[in-house]
Amino acid sequence: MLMETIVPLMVIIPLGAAFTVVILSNLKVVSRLARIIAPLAIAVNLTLSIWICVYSYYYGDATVWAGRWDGIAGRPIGIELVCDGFARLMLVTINLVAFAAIIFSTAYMERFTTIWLYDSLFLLMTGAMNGVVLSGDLFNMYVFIEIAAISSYGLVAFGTEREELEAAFKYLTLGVIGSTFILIGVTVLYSLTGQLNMTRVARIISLRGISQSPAVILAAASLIGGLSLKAAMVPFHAWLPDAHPSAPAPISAMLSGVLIKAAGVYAVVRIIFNVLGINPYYANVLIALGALSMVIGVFLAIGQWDFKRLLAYHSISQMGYVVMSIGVAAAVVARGGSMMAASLCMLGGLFHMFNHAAFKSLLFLSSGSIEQATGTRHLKKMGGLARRMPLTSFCCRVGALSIAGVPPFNGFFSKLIIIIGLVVAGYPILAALAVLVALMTLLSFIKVQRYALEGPVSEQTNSVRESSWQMGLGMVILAVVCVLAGLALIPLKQYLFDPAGNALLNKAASMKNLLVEAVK
Amino acid sequence: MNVIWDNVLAQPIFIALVFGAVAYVFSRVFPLIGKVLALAAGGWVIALGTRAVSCAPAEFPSLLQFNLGKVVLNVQFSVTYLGSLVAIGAAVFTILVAVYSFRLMAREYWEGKFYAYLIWAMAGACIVGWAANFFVLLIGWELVTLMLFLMINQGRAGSQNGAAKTYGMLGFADACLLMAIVLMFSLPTLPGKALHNLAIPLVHSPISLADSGWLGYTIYGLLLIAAFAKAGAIPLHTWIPAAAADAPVSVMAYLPAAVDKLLGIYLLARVSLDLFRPDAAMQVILMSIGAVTIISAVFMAMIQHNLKRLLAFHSVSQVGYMVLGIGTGTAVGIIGGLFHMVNNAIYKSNLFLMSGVVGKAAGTDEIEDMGGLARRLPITFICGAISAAAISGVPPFNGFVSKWLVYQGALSLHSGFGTAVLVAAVFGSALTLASFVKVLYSAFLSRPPADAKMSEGAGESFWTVLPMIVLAGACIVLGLYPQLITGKVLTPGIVPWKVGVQGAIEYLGGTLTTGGVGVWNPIVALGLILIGIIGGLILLGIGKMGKKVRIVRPFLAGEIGLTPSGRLDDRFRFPGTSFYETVSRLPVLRTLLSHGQRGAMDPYHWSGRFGSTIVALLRAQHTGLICLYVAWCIIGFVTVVIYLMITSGVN
Repeated sequence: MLMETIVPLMVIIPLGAAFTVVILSNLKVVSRLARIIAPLAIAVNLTLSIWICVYSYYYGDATVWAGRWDGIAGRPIGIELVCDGFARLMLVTINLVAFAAIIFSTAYMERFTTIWLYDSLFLLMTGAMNGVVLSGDLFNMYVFIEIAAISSYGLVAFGTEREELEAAFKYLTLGVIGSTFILIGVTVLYSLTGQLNMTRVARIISLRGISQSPAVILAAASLIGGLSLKAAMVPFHAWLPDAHPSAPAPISAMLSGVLIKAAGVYAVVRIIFNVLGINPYYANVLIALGALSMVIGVFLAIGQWDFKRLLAYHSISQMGYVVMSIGVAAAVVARGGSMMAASLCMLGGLFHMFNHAAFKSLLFLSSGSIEQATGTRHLKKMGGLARRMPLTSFCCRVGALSIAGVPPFNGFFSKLIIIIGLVVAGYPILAALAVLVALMTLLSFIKVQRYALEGPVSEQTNSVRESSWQMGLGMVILAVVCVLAGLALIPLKQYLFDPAGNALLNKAASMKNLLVEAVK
Repeated sequence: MNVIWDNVLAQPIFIALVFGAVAYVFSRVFPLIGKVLALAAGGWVIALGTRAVSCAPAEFPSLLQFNLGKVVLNVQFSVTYLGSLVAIGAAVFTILVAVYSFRLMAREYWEGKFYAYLIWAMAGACIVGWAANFFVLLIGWELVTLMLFLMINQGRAGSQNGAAKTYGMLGFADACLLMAIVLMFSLPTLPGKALHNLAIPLVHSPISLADSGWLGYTIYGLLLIAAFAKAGAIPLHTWIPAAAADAPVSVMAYLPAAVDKLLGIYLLARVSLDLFRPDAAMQVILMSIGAVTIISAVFMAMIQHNLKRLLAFHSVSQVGYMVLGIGTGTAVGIIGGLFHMVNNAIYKSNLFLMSGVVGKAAGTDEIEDMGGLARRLPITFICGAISAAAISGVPPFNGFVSKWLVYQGALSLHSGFGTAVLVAAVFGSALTLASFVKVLYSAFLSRPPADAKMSEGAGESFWTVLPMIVLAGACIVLGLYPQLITGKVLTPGIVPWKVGVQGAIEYLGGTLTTGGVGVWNPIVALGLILIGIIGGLILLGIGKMGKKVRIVRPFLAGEIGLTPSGRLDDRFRFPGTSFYETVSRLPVLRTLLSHGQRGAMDPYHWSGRFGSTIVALLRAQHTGLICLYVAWCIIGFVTVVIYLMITSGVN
């Protein structure tokens, strides 16, 4: 009962706050009050998400029906919110990053006008992402993806300069194509099964044995294509390097840190594992997309001199790790391989997804802090920041070492698990590729440190000062996560990653059994 | 907490990590605390490390297990003679370098952080030395690399370039190590693989490399790359000269000169002795790499004009002897190689410390701009001369004994190839001597240039001289009593493994006997050398007796060249750098050396060029046209559809 009240709050609080901000800001008397609503709402959400995690660990998953109508034959109709392990992991990730970003924003956004609009869009995006991961229903998932996407179009264009508008237009154009594909996929599945609820669609597909029928495959390809676009997998990635750097830094952190995961990777993994049912071919598509993104993304990143663009390309590359390793897990399950290897790859992928949220957001926040202080994003114009901005540099360095996979930071452990998982699962070539990409990532972040943090103080950086404490706090929160997540792997695995991995693998495995029985 | 505290190996490592963190946090407000903590952490490691050696080889209880299903990542330490040598050696150098830096790093912006990194680097080295499995080893290994990067960055303007190159190349080595470790999961025959915890075997049970197939060779090759890059063998050595020029001298003396050599050669020894048994072909490859490293690096060293770069190339060259010794696969050779690792750390570290004092006193690192420092820096000169003699393999210093053991190892192969590498090694040793004659002459004995800017007050101080005296003393003591290391540490470390029957070392009353091949008694030799020198001096005295010697100033066309300040002008000055100009003009060498100077043998340079080609190719595709991007999406979608349709049998 408690869960039934709390789980919908994850969506309701930010959505409600988003509109409250707009109203309050336009009432002269209380307009100052409006500034604290967003941080407050996100803080409450973060607390609730952690509470949900711990509570569900002891009392099991929760399924909540919103707008429930007990229809024919006791089958309830409404919006189902499924709060299983995977959703909980995403909830914690989203709200953690959102919390750091909104604290950072309180100082960073001072130089913009109409901050209330920003706060409102930010809350809308966060609420929508919470909705995406909780939704147990294909169409609702689509709707929430769209809400998140549309608010992010607005946020990318928030600076309303030439560059921002162009990037937002590109993002919008490609984003709409992605959404169209997703909608096609959902429509086809609905027309086949007459259902939108994920569990029921999955059951019907399995029981009728139509998982290999052309219609389902078309739906699968549309969903994979559309959601890969949202996840910025190569070759659907082209919007990301423009969109992510153009947004204000905390929004870049949100987009790279969580949006591409919630609206992209989460959704595609959920649909393949829990709706369509895994087979070796879907798994191969995931592996190919992941490996391609991983390699091409890093090569594009290493040549960049624009700090935020470099980070954006790394998002493609790092999400490649996640998708590839989850793909390998799917492949192992699909061909009936050892569950151990599958769960190792799954653990690596999910852990890396969480870690990427922490370190990439941290890096984007520190890039924002540097940009605000020095007025440039070009690495060659920076220099000697370690002396001028010690806190920002420290946080930037922690993020850089984390993404580069240097022990004892979190990225090292997740990459290590992924690489071990790949070898154990029988993909040594992919493991070698992953090691190579890790090395390239290291090289490109050596470059960042060499030009931005080290070296002589340049003309541009001579008079810069450390950023305000709010920005510092936002970065420090994430830096602490980067340092501790690796060392606290055991409890995190127990409370977050194992439930998440099991939610995917067990359901997928049981669906596969169902399928086998249906074929018999 | 008690688990860590009761563990003799984990305790000092944990203490060092905590001390490092404390030093880091207080680095700005209270840099003094870093100095105290560095000494304390070093002392702690030495105290407990020596206590632990008594029970070597032994495995200590596991501290923490990451149980990942099929794979168990186990945080566990074990003590071996060789590993303890690395850990304790690192601690000794930490103390010496910390003492040296009291004065040299004083009031630098980074002073406080330097000590934090120093402590952490030592913790990393201890983790490597005492690691019970490769997972733990990897973490320590990468920690040391990271600290090296951060410390090199503390140098003067320009050091960030060397730091980046260093981290780039060592990062490659770390990646190879990681890949090798992960591939071990696929090698079923590996010893100590119980529970899939990647244990490094304590007792000798190596598998034959030839039996383990291509996978075994791949793993061994990757491990070799990691070890060679860390230690600095050709062709993965180029980071050392790049870092040397601008890095703080304390850092060079600590990591590339001493601790990195210990780590790299330690890894090489452990994998070549415990894990795999290299076959004859692999031994030939190892010895060849050793010989090539000795010769080519020493040639590069001879033509250097920058003191620190020169030392860097010598430190590469010396790695060749260690690789050569271990590559012989005989007990004598291996013990010689490992002993050389210890000796090299001692004298090379000392030489870098010397270069720091000299560089500060002369106000430059360029050898031709130095001169006449022997009078201003007498102790530095003596310590430098002893270390130079040791590195050149002059008896009775320690470098001679270890080189001699390596030669014995090569000789006891009784093969033409063994003789060939022996000749190369001896020749390299002679060139090293030649090169250091140049250094000692130019820096200390030659006449200073007329416009030399002597920075006053940059002379010797107690703190800078003390570590040099200790290290120079060690060169002498280990030269006279090599059994302190070879007998007490290396032989018990090697003998249980029974590497090759021929050529074991025996000690009879201070005499080293190597399986009937050679005999060396340092004390007797010292006596003979002293007699020779005294005899020579007497002869010289007799020759001079009763003869008048007239000393005149050099003149040109009847004119004595003087600068306005009354000093002799530079037309009559012979800087030592001109000694070996001829070497760089020899027909074949000239081309090779000039290409070498320009980075033709530098893998970093080449991979950078290759990488940027790919990057340019990929970037050219991203033109910013939306229609192009839309086309990619559609192509991607169509490909997925077609693939899924074909594989699921839809026509």
